[in-house]
Amino acid sequence: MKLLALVIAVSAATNVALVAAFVSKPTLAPPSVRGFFEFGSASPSRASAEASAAKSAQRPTGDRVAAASSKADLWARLHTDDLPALIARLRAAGFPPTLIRAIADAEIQRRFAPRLEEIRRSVNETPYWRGDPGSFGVNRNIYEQMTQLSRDRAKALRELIGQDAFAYSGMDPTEAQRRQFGNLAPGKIDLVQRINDDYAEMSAQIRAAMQGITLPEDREKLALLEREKRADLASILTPEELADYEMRTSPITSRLRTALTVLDASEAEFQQIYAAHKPFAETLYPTSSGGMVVFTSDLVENRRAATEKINAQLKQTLGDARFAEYQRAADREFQQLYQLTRSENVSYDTLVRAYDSRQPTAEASMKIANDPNLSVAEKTAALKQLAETTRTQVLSTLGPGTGPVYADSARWLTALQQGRAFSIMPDGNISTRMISAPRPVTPPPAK
Amino acid sequence: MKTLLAILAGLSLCANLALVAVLFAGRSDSAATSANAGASSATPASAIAPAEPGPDTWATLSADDLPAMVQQLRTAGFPRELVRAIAVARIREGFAARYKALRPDAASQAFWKTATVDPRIRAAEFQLYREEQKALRDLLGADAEQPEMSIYQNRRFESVPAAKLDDVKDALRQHEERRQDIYANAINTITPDQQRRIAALEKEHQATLAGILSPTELEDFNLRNSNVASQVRYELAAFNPTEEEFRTVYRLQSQLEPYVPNMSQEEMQRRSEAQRQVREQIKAALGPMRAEEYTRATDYQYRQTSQLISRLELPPETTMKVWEVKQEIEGRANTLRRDTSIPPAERTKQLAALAEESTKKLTPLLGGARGMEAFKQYGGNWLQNLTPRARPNSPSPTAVRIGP
Repeated sequence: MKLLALVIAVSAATNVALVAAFVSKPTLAPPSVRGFFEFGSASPSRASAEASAAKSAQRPTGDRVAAASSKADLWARLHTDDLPALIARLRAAGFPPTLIRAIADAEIQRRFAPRLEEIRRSVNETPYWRGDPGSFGVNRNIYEQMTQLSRDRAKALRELIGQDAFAYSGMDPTEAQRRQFGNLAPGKIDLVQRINDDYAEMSAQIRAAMQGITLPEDREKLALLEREKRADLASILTPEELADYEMRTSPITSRLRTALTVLDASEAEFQQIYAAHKPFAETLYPTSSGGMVVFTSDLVENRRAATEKINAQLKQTLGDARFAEYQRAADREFQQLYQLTRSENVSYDTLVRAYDSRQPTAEASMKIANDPNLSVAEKTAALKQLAETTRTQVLSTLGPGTGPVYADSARWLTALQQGRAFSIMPDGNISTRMISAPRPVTPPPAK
Repeated sequence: MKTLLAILAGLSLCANLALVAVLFAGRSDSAATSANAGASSATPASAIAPAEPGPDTWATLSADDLPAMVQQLRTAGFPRELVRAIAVARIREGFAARYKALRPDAASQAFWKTATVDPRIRAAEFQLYREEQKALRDLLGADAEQPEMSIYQNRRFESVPAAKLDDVKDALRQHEERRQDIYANAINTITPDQQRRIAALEKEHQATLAGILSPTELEDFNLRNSNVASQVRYELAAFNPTEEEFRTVYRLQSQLEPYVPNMSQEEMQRRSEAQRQVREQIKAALGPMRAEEYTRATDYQYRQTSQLISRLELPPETTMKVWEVKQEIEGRANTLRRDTSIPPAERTKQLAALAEESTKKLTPLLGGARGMEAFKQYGGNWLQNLTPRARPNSPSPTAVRIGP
């Protein structure tokens, strides 16, 4: 009985020792059974892949020399279909982040190729004389499939290489992230991106079903998604972080960027301007099926009323002088003029002077158009003369570099040169008026 | 108890035997590998065994000498698309400093401001990109071409003979670069001078293509790729044309001079008249029945109504019924407007009554108030013309793209 117990003890200890040896060094076993001793080896996790890759990187110098001298099958030895393991091997082999990103992107692209091919097949089946199947206005399903494919690829890349997904075009990953996410911690950035991906997918499904027609129930569904997304974001971000993230990603900010650049707005000014616009976001930038909005007269009126309120508030918060600059900076034509003068070192005052010449010219043109003593031909001639005088004035103000380009591209001056009058609308837009003979007076109906 | 211990001892000893067997098998496998390696080369086993890549592997690939790097990557069995991906990334790195020099403050740029406003910088960036692409072509030759991500690849080039494909693509690339040169200096709008240059460039491009393709091949190419063809495809989406009809409309539509911005009043009138004549020619070529369908199908409001009917899952013939109501009401409204004997206030009242009548007729056709409300946005803009505008200068309803 005692001998049997001793045999069991010695045998069990031998078994434990042998198993421990195989686990610590799986290569002691033949390849066919090695997998039993490599935990998770069928689909190695990123951590174990990195560990094994790091181990191989620490091999003696002799082996490294062997690796360097034996390159013929290098890719075969680096490559595996397990992408996390591939990335770990590339890192262990000293590949820099930008190249790891490039390789990971190409590998992901290869894996997504069948999906792309599927979309392409439906495009190829459409003959050339039928509408472009992938265009937004013709087949929103293909359009949504393409955008979803693109999102899925970006997501796969982020999940695979983490922060290095930002390492492209020679950019420092942290700089690109900072612009998009501010000072959020990397873990939170990852969570925010996951939430964005999930909701983008859900809203893409709704939009695809809309077929370009936004019904009230679609708006409700999309608004509900927005609210839920915000709630999810609020659960992982502090109120300050959420407010900052929303400011960075809001359509209000995107739409105002050029104006804020021309205005050279400080952070405090930006926050004031953003806060004034925020309550009217849905009126100014309504929910739509992918960006196309039909502006009915109601919507136009609501936008006008919202703009009036925003302007009244900004006039108070920014002060009269700065508000006037803001209005100018928000005007598309002034933005154009500003951009033109960037390459000519024209002073800000000079371009304001050139821009401000519009108002008296508009008034003069309307005076001519409304003059009852002038014939159509006389009005047209007077407007063309006014155009010549104004053009000369603009050229002299802006100089030979910018002057002709601005004079050729300003719509109001072109209209004037063609014999049309113009006025400036309260929203800064130009309204032109053709000169035509007055309508004959309708005789009173015969009794 | 004794029996149980005996069974345990037996099992444990079996496990001992199995594990020892695995150990021996593993050792003999290693020995065989070494023997094979030894047989294939006279060099020491440690140098020629299939060594794992080490931390210096990338450094040994002549990473600073790009042609040598590409050669080594190819030799090392890297697939073509990965060689390209690595080469693109390395070339981009080489240009990174020059890009950064163009906008040194980009990293510290406030997020509420836009980064590119200076046309000189934009033009310089275009130029750098072009140099980059040339460097890639010089480095990789035919392999430089981007793996096609476009879903239109087949559709764009399906008619081009394989032997002429490279020449056509080359001509397209050069044309695109020259267009970029013009657009790089355009800010918000294209000036008349830039417009003239673009028109001249387009003519030159057609001449270049005509030097590569036969007249039939060129027309087939343009049917798939030209702006006119795109416009015709868009306009005929609800017309469901045959290939022959599409070609007919395309040929007639191509006769029109392209639209240019900032036309004078006379130019606009001339173009409008030319467009009217072309439409008449198209209708004559299509025959009376199809001409009528063409008129309807190319009407924006009809197309929108048709889309809405489909979205509301109403029978397709509803579109025609709604259209007939529109035709009837608009006809009566025009008669009212032309009748100068009606005092303005009375005319307004009668037009408002017409609007009300329209709503009564259309609401059941559109499946109720929900459909009617949507119709006001999609296809029913004409209803607004029946009621007087609250503000004389407010712009008419229009579809605009918003958002970044």
